[in-house]
Amino acid sequence: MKAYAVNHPIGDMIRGMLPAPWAAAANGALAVGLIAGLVTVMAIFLIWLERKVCAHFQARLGPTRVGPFGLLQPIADAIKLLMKENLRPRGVDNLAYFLAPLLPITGSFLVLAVMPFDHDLQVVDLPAGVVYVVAVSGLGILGILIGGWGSNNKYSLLGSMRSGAQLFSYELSLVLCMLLIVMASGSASLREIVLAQQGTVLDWWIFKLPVAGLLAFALFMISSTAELNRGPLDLSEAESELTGGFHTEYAGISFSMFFLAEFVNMFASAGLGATFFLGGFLAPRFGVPPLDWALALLPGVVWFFVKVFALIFLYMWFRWTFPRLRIDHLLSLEWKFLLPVSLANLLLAATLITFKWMLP
Amino acid sequence: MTLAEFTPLLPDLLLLALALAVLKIDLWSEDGEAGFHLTWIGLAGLALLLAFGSRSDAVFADYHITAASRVWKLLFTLATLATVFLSRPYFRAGGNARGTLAKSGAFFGLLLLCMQGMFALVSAGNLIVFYLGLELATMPIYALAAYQPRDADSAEAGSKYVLMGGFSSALTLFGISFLYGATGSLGFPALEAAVRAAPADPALWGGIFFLLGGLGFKLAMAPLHMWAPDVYQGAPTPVMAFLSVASKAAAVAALATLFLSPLNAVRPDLAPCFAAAAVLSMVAGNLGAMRQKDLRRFVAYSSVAQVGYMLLAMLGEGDGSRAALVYNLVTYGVTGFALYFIMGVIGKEGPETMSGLRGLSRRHPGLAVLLVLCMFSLAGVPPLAGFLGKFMLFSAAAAEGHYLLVGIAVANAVVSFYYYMLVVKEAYIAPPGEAAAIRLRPLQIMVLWGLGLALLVLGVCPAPADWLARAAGN
Amino acid sequence: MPVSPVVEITFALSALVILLSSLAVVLVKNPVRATLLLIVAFIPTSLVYILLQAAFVGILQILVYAGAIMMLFTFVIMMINPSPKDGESPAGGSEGGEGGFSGMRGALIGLLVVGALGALLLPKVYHAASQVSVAPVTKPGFGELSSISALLFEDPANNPLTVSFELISFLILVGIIAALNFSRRKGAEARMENSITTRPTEALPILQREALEPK
Repeated sequence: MKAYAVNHPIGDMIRGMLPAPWAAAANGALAVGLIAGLVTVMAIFLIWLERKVCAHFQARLGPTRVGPFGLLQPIADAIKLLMKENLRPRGVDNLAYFLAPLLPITGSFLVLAVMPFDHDLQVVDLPAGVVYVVAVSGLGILGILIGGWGSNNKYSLLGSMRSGAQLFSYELSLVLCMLLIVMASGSASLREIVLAQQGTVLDWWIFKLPVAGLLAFALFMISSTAELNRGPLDLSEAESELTGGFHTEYAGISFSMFFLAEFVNMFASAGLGATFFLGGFLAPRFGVPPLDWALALLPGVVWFFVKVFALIFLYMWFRWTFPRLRIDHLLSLEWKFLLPVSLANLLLAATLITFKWMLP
Repeated sequence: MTLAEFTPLLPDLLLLALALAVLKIDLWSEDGEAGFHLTWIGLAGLALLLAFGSRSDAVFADYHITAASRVWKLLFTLATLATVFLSRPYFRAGGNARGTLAKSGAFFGLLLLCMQGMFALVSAGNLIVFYLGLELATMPIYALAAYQPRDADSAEAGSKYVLMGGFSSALTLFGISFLYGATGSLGFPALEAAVRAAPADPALWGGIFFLLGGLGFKLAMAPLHMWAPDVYQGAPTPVMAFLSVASKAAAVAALATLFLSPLNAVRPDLAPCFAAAAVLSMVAGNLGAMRQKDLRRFVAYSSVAQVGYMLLAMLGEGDGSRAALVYNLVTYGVTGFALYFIMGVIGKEGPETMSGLRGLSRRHPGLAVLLVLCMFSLAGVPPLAGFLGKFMLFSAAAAEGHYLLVGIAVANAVVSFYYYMLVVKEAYIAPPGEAAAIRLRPLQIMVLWGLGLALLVLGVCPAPADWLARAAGN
Repeated sequence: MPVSPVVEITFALSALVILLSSLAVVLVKNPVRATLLLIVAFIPTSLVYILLQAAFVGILQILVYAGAIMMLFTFVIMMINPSPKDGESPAGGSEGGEGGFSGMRGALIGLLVVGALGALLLPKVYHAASQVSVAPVTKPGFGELSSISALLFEDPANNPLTVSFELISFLILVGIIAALNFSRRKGAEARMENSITTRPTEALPILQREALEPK
């Protein structure tokens, strides 16, 4: 287990200003501070992005007009949510009702702790990072389940039941995709997975394993969309049938916690996708020396964010173009199609890896 | 590892292939006939392979193939085969008054997987395999006990068995963890050495205590037998047959596997424990059986009493005990299946209760004679199979000087004669209703003759079972 | 080598949380809260594993117990939504009812068992604590993913865990078959009745099967 300095120049400067015994603690504090800052900024930015994308896809007017480029829209949203009263409907289970909004966001924070943003920009590199990611993301499901139950509202309960069934189911094919990547990289540490993809673009796992990689990527995107509770697989909210699903009763800051978690989760999920399939923080190389040199000028963290936003755009694209599925269709899609395909794909990848039938 | 080294493992591998094939073929077969035929042909082949196949011992990754384990496996295979045949009418519309069972493919698949667990249990070379085998030999029965569709009793049997089974598994596992803590090893040879070196370790005794508790539940040994009557009553009859013969044999095998080899050094100290459990089981079983009106509950209590007799063997020395146990299980199995066969026949029209037996001597004299043979054999009347089984158990205990205990057991056997005769009374003396005569198909008549002859032959000429027992004694 | 105070304090805190939350699991009346508290008890348990240098087992503890098993527990408990009835003790069984254990008697038996076990184990633990050195394991890769996979899969012909591993897969297979068998029990018409798209009051008690009602 290796902890990395947050960043070379800035980290060194801050550490230099502190007395020796505190310097070690500075890493942790800096890391947590950075992640917290990132989460807040990212959520606001993503909300803006979502509204812009949605506006352009579906010709909605508001988000293009509030402030320059609609930049003030998320701020307007945030102020509106914060000013609202944090309601406590009658008959709710206090513990469950107020604990629930905190869990999903905690889960996504914890995932970000192992995310490799750059060579030396990772809070901690766990040898079993992938397993850890799966473990802590379970908190999100728990939050949704007890939130729906604690609200004492049948729509909430139905929403959280649906959500529970959906998340349990899609977790299977998601984990199978991750397993494939662990198998290919020979390590479960996220950093090692990225480093295993060094070389040209063709060495990224999406291309390196013929067919299996691309298929795994597609499966990953579909099942992580479901894991994120995003359209077209957002059955737990389904406002047309369940008013708001598990967060029907939530208002104000509690609601915005769920909302925030959703966006941070999307960011984390896209980050995992980039790490697993698109070479993470590695700059793309095409085997053309001048071009590669030019691309490598940008630091790894920039490339990481470029890849992440490409995937986020894909998620948004899904959401605003496809109609929502029905719950039984959604579950049959997983159990009768995605899961068998994931298993077959895992076998295929195992064969490819065993016989080294990979792109050079 | 060459192919030749796999030959001793062949029965276990074939059983696995069979289980998967039966589950698979069920997807294509509309009426489940293919699954039934595949199962019985496969099991018959497996029995032949175990009886006449490779005789060499082998060890594969702590999985021990020995002559003794082969005999146990043969016993399990035959019991399962009998269960499969017994279950045949229960899947046919109108085959049983209680209702038709559905989904025979999953039923046979679960039976075969259960058998796989029993195989692992007797081949176990370490405590993990032992525990997993025990679990695999129990878990399918949870589902099978609740197999009767839309039946409150069956649902109750399933849930009761799940709860009790889960509790007893936890006890077993707890005991195993104590053993591991006390001896520092899970493998049987190292365990044996450690037990021999420090037989008075309190943690070891804690482990043995919990293990006995867990296995006692599975065995339905008093005072842990309370689940048995309810589960036997609620489960479909073929499942009850499997529980009372194959599953009981597996539990006995588990007890023998542990306490006759790795824990053999402490067995003399455990004698009072086994003796108390034996006496309690006999008394509880016999007293319980006297008042039963439902044949399945009756079988449950009678099997509790039989467990009491079988526990006597745990007091004897190793080889003789194992031989007595196997012999007794064989005779008990034959007797049991004869009784279940009769239950299946009368269950076609009426309930499987004592009153359902009423007038059996008029409705079909042959069946009534078989019933008498069965009951006499269970009671241990001399010329029949059950007598020899009991005799071997008693002599195993007497050889170690437990005369008082043998006396109690004999007294209990005499008491049991009373309620076994009650069943015979229903068939012969109780006034018959206006039930019609029973007509058996030719195949059923052959089974009737076969079981009747087996009951007589095993009592008069013990050679076949004796061969089994000697092989098991190794 | 002495244990660092950070480890000591972390262990003491985790142990405290485990004890308190486990006690609360048994004492709390509301089943959903009991489940939540059990999850709370699992998290410091995994911390203890990590202190014992078994980080992977610690993560698995969260993944399997807190993440999967307890989630299903929560799910099922919410679905059947049991609530303790009046005059019923949380330990189950009616107060002073005939044949059933009253809460007091159950607690007494539990205490007896715990006491006996403690008497059995404490000398052993004391012995171990006074004999075994507390130096951290220096074996490379101890408790890591790679060494665990080596333990499970290396040299399959002689590995004592090979057969266990395969047996576990059969166990899971049995679980799947059994679960499918029961969930498929109802016909198509029953599925329509209990479809979750109907009003929730009718849809939720799915677990109260007709099988449990008298025929």
